Amino acid sequence: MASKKTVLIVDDHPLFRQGIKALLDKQSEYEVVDEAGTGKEAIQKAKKLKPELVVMDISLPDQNGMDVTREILSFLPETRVLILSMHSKIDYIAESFQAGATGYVVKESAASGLIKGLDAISKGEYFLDSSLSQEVANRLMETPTKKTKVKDLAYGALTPREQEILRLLAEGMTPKTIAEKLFISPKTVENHRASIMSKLDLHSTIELVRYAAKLGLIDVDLWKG
Amino acid sequence: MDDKAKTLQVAIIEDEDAHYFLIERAIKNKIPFSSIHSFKSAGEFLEKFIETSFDIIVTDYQLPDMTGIELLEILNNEGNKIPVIMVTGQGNEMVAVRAMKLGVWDYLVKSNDFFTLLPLVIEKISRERNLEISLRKSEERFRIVFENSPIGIGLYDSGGYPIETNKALMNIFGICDSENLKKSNLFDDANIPDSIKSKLFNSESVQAELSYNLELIKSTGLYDTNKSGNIDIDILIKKIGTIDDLHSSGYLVLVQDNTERKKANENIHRLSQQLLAAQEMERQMISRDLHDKIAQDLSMLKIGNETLLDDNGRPAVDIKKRILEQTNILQSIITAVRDMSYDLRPPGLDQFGIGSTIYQYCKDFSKKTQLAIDYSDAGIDNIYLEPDIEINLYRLVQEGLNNIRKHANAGHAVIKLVASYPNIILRIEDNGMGFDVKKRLAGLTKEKRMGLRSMEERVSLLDGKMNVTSHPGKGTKILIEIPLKEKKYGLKENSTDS
Repeated sequence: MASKKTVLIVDDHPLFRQGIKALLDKQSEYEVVDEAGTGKEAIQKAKKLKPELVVMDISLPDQNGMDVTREILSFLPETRVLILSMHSKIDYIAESFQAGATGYVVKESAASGLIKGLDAISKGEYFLDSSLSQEVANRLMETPTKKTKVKDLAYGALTPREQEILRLLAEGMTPKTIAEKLFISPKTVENHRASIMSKLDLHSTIELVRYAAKLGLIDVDLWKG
Repeated sequence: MDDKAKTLQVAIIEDEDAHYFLIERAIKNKIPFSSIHSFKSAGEFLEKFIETSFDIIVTDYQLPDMTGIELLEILNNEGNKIPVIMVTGQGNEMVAVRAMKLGVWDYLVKSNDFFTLLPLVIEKISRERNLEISLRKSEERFRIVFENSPIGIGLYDSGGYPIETNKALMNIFGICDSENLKKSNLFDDANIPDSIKSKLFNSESVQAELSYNLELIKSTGLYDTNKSGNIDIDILIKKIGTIDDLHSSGYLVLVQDNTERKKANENIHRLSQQLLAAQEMERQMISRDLHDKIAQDLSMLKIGNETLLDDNGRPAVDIKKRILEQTNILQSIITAVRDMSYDLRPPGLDQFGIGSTIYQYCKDFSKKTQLAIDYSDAGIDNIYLEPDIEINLYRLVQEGLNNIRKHANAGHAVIKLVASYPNIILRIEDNGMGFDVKKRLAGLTKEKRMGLRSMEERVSLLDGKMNVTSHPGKGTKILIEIPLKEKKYGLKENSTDS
């Protein structure tokens, strides 16, 4: 018989840890080597025990489980982490996988999902609780419609002053008026303007106005036509 | 007071009885509401003079104990204000001039028409006296108003020096002694901005809210004040025409002290801020308890339920069925509790940021209500927003979308969130039925629209501005701008201004 896989359970809820332990104890493949109630405790025990698997909660009293996962994996790269959380929102799922976890199960599905998940991740596979498929699929389906995202990233590259000037330009102010309003020279305004146009890949005032309207910097009559 | 106005108290000093009776009859005939007091000599009159308040004194020039001129001098020394008519047997210009110089009201010679003339003169005096009384009364009334007005009132001459100031004005500026104000010129007051002064020179009226710095007054020595620090005032300065004989023009200054009111407002402001913060904290606590305790315990229960039969070889079919039912009920309770928790407090605001959180909320809202929502944000990932601003932006979106669902009957909504230094812009727009903004502001609409009001309150707590545009049948647009606290602005160092 192959040796049992060592598991560290991280959850601040003692009763819940017990329940999980009871579930795992029934299996012959897994052996719970220890439990931790905080992120700090989890990191200490992981360092000492070097578990092959970690069952990790997200909401911990001292830090979030995703950050703890990141840290544990930094010194135990071979260890596999399964997130077992109350959260069902896509952002948590995405962030957990980005942190290096390879499985995600919501707590109420633990009875059916936990063992399946541990089986999958210990084989090096990814595992996602089936009750979460719809949440993930929804997000996957909507992504392509957000094609404005690229340009919005460019907007984030503007300096505060450029943001300020972009809005004033879009509102129809001349560089001279803007210069007076902001107590800078018209030349400086022109420089900012050039920088804005280049960063946002805009080539005319009309494009600039259209862009500002799309972002919501200025008002446009949305419901006309 | 009124009786005195009706009955004219006339003192006649005349030593010849025959003459006296003629005078008395002439007056009585002409002025029935008079009461006549007879005195034989100046001494006799002077004895009664203090205790009786006469309206008119008629005296003969030639009296047994002194001349009328001497009597006048005595009366003047006593500070007499009662009109005196002097009567003489024969005209003497020297006497007349003396008498006039001593302030006699009229000087009559006992000629043929004397007995018709005297009552006319008395009547005229009485009329003028009544007029004067009512003028004085009216002046007294205005003085009462002037002195007791809680609004500071000051009259200044055209050069800016005070002519008269009331108590309230002195109190507002902490001035104990009106004398020390006399030398201080309105135009030397450094707290009054030049823009106001130049408007005054152009004869324009000025109304302004000023934060009035009394330390500045102390350091420039404009006047002595027993107050310190700053006071908030509303000031109205108006150029006016004739003030009195000496001043053909000047300024009327009205000042209202708003310091206390402003303080009270700030307190209310602070209180609502604390209330909102407390509410937010409470929601967070309840939300966390629901999510991390109750939902978790329920999950435990569900797991226990699902594994209940694992050790029990062959359970009865109906028990298996009932356990499955219970498990399903537990799952729907867990889902409901989780939704409640997420409604109370957005999950992941601290971890995933405002953009992602609002986006997620819009998605869920859209799914729940069939309202199509376009959400976009720009520039907000790069800035550090205070948690306070973040949660309130989220609440504004929440309240805005709920308003749309409740009132707008819209099919489509747009949410845009843009960082635009020095502000963050939030737009909430819909294509619904709209409403009349003016009527709503005037409280004329039937719906209370508390939603919009509480949004306004939230925005004002963040020192922001909210602007609502709407027309019946043409949708509603809400523009919210909230100032970013500069030092917290992550990109500040990258600014390239020289």
